[in-house]
Amino acid sequence: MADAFKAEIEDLKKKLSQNPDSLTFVPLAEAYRKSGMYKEAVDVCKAGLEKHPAYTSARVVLGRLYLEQELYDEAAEELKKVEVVDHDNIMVHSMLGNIYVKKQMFAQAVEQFQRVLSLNPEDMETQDKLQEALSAKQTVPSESKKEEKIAPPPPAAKEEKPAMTDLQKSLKVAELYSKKEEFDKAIEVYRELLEKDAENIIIQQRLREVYDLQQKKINKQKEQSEKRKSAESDKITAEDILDVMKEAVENDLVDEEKTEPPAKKEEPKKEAKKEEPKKEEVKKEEPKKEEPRKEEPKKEEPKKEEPKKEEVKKEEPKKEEAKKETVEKAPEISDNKKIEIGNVLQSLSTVDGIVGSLFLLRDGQLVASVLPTTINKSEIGGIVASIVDKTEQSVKNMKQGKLNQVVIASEHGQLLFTELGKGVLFIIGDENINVGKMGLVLKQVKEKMKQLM
Amino acid sequence: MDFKSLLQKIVSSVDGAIGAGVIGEDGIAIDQFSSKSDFDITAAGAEYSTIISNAKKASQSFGLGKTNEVLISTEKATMIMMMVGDNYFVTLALSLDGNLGRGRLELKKSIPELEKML
Repeated sequence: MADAFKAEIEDLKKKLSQNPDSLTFVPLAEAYRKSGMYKEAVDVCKAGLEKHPAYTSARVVLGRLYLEQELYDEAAEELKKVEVVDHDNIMVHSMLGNIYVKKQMFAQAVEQFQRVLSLNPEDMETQDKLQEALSAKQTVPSESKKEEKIAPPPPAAKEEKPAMTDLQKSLKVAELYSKKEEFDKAIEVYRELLEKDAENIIIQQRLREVYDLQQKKINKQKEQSEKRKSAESDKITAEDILDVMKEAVENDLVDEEKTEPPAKKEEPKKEAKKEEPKKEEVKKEEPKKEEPRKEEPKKEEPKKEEPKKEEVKKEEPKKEEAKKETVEKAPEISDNKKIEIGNVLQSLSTVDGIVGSLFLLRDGQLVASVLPTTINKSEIGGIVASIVDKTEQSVKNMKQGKLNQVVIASEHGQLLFTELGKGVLFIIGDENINVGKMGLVLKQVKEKMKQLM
Repeated sequence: MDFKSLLQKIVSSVDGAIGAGVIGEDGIAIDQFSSKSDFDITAAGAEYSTIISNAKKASQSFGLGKTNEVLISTEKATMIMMMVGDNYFVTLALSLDGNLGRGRLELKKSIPELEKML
């Protein structure tokens, strides 16, 4: 195992030196942690966080590094920073709960464990911890005094809370504006926040990100308008384009006549003829017709059951569904989203026993991955997509509805995959993986990924 | 005890169990027992074996060694499959509210006995 980490550490060090601004410092810190090199892990993490102060996953890793070294105050400090911006982070609440137990601050521990359970009520481990913290809270009468000595005085902490909530709310509002691409409004919110707290590095970082996004949008718009101008100067008229499109649609219909029974073809043909003059409608039809054809041969079901007319009629709505699916199956994921998904996967690597994870689209296109160096990234996307596809097909054939999740337990580890929106999340765990914990984290990750997709 | 009695014992001792079966990797079921008349594991044998063979491929691709167990949750049911030796597996289908933990335990307990029978 140590050798495996050595190789991984060397590889990650090389990558980081080649691109010092990358996020590789997190897996490197994790590799150091796993091989017990805590000092190196903390140093790498701190250096990385100086460049990426808003990278919460890294802060969680740093918090955990401190926690494992029993540096509870330092750990709490880092984790609280994450809590401010990501108040639904189960891992953070769980770790903070553990820290408070160690510090015998049971009231705070109870609060943290309750927050974990509000996010995942089925977490048995936290249920036990909550019970223990509750009974400890009752049996330790001098607790409040202890807390006063160790922690900042409770009244002050209480006063801070509304301010934190306001900050969280404002950050969320700004995030929403940013997601809606209303960058001016997002910038306004961040500026207002900075007026109150000019040194807040998280807000500074976010503001910078919004400026970047805004600039990208402006550049895109410029490009598009330039393209439009050049298209206008071109001598090909819209009517010419329309003719080409009509031809393409008619060719498609001819193709369909060849491949499909007569009952089916009439409807679309009539529609197409009636709607010929309308440019937009013809445009919309084109991709719908091409894409499902690519999909159908894979699934094979309709081919085997071809003959009966009634069945064909029943199949029609399915076809439309397939069209919708295929339109959704080829989404374009922006670089920003890929980075965010990568960050989510990175946070998974902080869970004990998880050695890697990847997120890919249904066609096998790898969106983001955090994998050990022993796994060949270029090959794995295709392999995983094929496994997911075949398993899904089997479940479908068994008429057991949609596939939710698969866990494969093997000699040296476990694999888990689950459908997430337009893609598949695949997690690789070693033999020591805590399946309960993984389920808990997975639930949290699913929520985050859904938002991202 | 024969296969059917053992499978019946598993199904009756797990809350929410729908059916159980012993299936060869070639997809042919050796025996099955189901608590619902419309649930036929024999018919689904080929699909189960496809799932197992995919799981084995996945494990190999990631260097995780021999596959011991596969757990699938779908919209309608949860299915547990555990390898019995190299060429057979025992499977248990549960309703969504079925007791998964008990199901896994009962299957694990049955493996030594099944190995003797096979």
